[in-house]
Amino acid sequence: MKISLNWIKDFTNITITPQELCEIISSKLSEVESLKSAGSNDMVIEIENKALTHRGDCFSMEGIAREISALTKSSLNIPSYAPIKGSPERLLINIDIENSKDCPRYTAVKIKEVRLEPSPKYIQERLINCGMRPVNNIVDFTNYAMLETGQPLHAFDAVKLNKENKYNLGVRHAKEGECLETLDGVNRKLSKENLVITNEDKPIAIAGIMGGKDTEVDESTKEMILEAANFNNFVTRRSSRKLGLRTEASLRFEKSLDPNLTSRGIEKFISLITKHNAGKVEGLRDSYPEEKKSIIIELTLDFINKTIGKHLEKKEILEILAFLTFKTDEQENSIRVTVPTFRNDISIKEDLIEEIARIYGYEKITPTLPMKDISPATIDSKLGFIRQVKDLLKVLGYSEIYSYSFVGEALYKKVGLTTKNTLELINPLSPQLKFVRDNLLPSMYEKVELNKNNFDKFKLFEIGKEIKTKNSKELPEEIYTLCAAYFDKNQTNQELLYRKSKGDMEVLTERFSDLDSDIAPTLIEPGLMIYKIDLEYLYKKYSTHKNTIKDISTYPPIIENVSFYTKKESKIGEIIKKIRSLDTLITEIEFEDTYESEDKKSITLKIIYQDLQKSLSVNEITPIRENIIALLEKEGFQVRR
Amino acid sequence: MDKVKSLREEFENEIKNVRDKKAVDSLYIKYLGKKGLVNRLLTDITKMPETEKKSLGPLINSLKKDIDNKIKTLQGSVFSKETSPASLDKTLPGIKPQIGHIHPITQMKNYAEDIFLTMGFEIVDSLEIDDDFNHFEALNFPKGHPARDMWDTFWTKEYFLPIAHTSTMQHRILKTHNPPFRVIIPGKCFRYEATDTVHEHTFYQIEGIYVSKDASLAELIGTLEKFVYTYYGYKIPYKIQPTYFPFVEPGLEMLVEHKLKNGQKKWLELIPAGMIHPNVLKAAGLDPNVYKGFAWAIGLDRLVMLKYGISDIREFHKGDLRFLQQF
Repeated sequence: MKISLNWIKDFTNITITPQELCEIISSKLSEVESLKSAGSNDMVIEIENKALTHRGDCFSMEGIAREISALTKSSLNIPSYAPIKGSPERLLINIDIENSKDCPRYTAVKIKEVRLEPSPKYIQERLINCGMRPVNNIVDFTNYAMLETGQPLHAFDAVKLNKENKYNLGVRHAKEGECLETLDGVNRKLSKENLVITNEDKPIAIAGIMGGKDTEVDESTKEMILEAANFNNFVTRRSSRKLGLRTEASLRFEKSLDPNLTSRGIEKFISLITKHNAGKVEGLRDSYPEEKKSIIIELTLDFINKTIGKHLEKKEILEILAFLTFKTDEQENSIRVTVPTFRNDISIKEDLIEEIARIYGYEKITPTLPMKDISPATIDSKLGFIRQVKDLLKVLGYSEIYSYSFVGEALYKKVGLTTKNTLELINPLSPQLKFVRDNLLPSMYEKVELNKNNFDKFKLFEIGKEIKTKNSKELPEEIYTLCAAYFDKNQTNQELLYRKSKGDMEVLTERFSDLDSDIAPTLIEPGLMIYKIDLEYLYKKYSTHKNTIKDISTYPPIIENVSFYTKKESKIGEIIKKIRSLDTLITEIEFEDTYESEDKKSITLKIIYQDLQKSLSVNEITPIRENIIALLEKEGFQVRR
Repeated sequence: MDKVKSLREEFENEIKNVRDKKAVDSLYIKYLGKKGLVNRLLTDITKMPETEKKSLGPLINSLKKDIDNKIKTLQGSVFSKETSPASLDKTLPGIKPQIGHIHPITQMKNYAEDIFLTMGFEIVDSLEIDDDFNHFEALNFPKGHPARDMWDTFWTKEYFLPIAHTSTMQHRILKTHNPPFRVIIPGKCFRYEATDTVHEHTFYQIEGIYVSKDASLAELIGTLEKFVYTYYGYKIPYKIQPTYFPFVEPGLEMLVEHKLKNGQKKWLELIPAGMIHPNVLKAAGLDPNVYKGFAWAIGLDRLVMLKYGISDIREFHKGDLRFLQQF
């Protein structure tokens, strides 16, 4: 929103420098984006719209002047104009509004003896300074009146509507298939989301957004109909989004405008054509079935002070409200506030608190801290667990990556997966970001590929959510998952690569659970193994895991080696487990050595026997060793003696 | 007993004169070798009566330990004297173990979370995909509300949405917690936005909520002030400005002073916040005449970028180790 400083000065005295003014606007109304010099010794202040989303009244010089008067405590002088007289008998304007919720008010003014010419220089300059393009005096006056009062106006060529001075105007939703060429020369296909203005039931404008080409004013225009209407903000937004068309008018209607404002817009326009001798009012028709009335909000001083957290004097509060042109009725412990209709952002007590607090000044509120009992704060135990997992992975040499939750089909295909069961976005930024991932593997694979260019050896991990769809009604399941990649370009021995990477995962699972399940990579490529671990499952194990420690024996262990030949297909892990369960005196088995010879390999197991109560003798061990050898032989292994 | 004592004295005298490694070695053999003086003493006592064994045994053992310690200490010092500095190149680079790195946003998240933990805030997890009700409607954005345009959301075919703000958790928190309470919610958020060096469709937030009978604007400002002072480690200048969000009233924004590289100062919008709108409390079954609350959201990405001078926001999701290993 661009503001001309000279224009503002028409309505209020500014005694501070433009820079000081900007500071105040930023801290009490909305962030000032820039302050620039402009034509005819003017300065233009650009204010961010975001904080004004609910302040339709601020999209005008008068509205901003009213704010500045309150912010700087200077007087406000907004002129009043002579009211426009009603319709003479011979003028027939019919306005048929389908639903007054869409259009609470529609005012049409017939103007005759229109004289088209370029508008006066000061008008053109102010329009330019505020970011609008001068066209001709009629169009410029509508824009000028809109910028000043905030009421969007539109001028139709009256003769193009009807040659006999009888107008049948209407406001209704467009029918599917209807079209309209708008002022910008674009032929637009309309749909039922678009509210349109009709003449003899034919669309002549898209309500609150843009007029039609066929009925625009041009050099030949002698008579015109001026439209000053009020359109619902929801309806205008939907219509504007559907068309992908935003204009100065739609911007204002979307913020919600006061229906009472149409009169002011018209009055300003009429004052301009009168002053510049550009036309005469013939009459008007005003369709305004339900007049908008001011609301009254009662505020207790106690509520104000408690909510702000600071004691404000009643006098101070009354002064602030008066500068904002709110009428106040002082009671003993409260204030009855009459909210002007143009402040339709204000409907409850809290809205008034904001007005009082921001004008009073947030910087004058002394910060305090909430008082609360000293019960300890807790971190969600799953989040705490994930922190621990990350810390351990870091120690193991893994670096954390983040990747997008959005994926494309091509990425999934690379690792042989399909996006069939994933959530699909209806408005993706690109095909690469079309689906919500239900698997962390594809992104990890992509990051591995990227890093291969720079490193021969690395370990990566990501902890993220896999989004598993349930059905179209229920929210999907979100499953915390760990994906870890182990890459070593020069490790050509796959078995060693596997044992090293698996060892890392074992450290993790053993640290957090007594989980003894098989860990296997999800993806294997030369030099690369990628693992996935369901953290929800590990977390469940972790939360029930009793971390009891084992007693340490003070007696010396007996260590023996058992060597045997085995075939390639044997499952050594299972054999070790079986041996271990043979006797409780076997406290540990280390997998000591393995080397290949043709199709056989030799394995040496280091068996550690230990007792908690006493020193073991060789005699006690002998039968166990014989059992081990018997077991191995039964399993078909050739034991080396 | 005298034998033990004299052996100790003998050793003490002898060790004083040791000057080189060779002498240390022969000292070791003399006293602690298999046939050394200490072992000889030990074999001697096996012939003694039981009572003497018991008293002498520990004495000999402690002598053995002392001699061992002293020789080892000497070995160390004599050894280093002999080999350095001539034989050890102290400028050689060390062989570093491979360590991992935690993503800078995780680090920042943990840091911010820990500050709030010490302030008594409970940490709760956020969803990644939510519905229109929790994300908008329960937060005082009716369907078609123009303010929805401020949130450029993605939508799935089922009309779920990857969350565009962690405020999506507010309604659930308000419903499940009994006031007074204070909660923070870290989360991954998404907005329909084309990416460039300063824009990213995926970003991270920490939501904060406080509800009690007497929460006030002063307390909101006080809480945010405490956080930024702790985060920055000094009393960083800040200011509070009004802004608009449908789910707060009043709505405001905290800006902190940021020093640019050229020494200039700039105000930086850091934390959007506000008093929770009565409609939001009502929607969760809390009586706004009894309870008040405040809420805010902190963007983590920007904090990290400022802290390390990162100029391209896209680095966060690229997964490039050359970037990540610097943290």
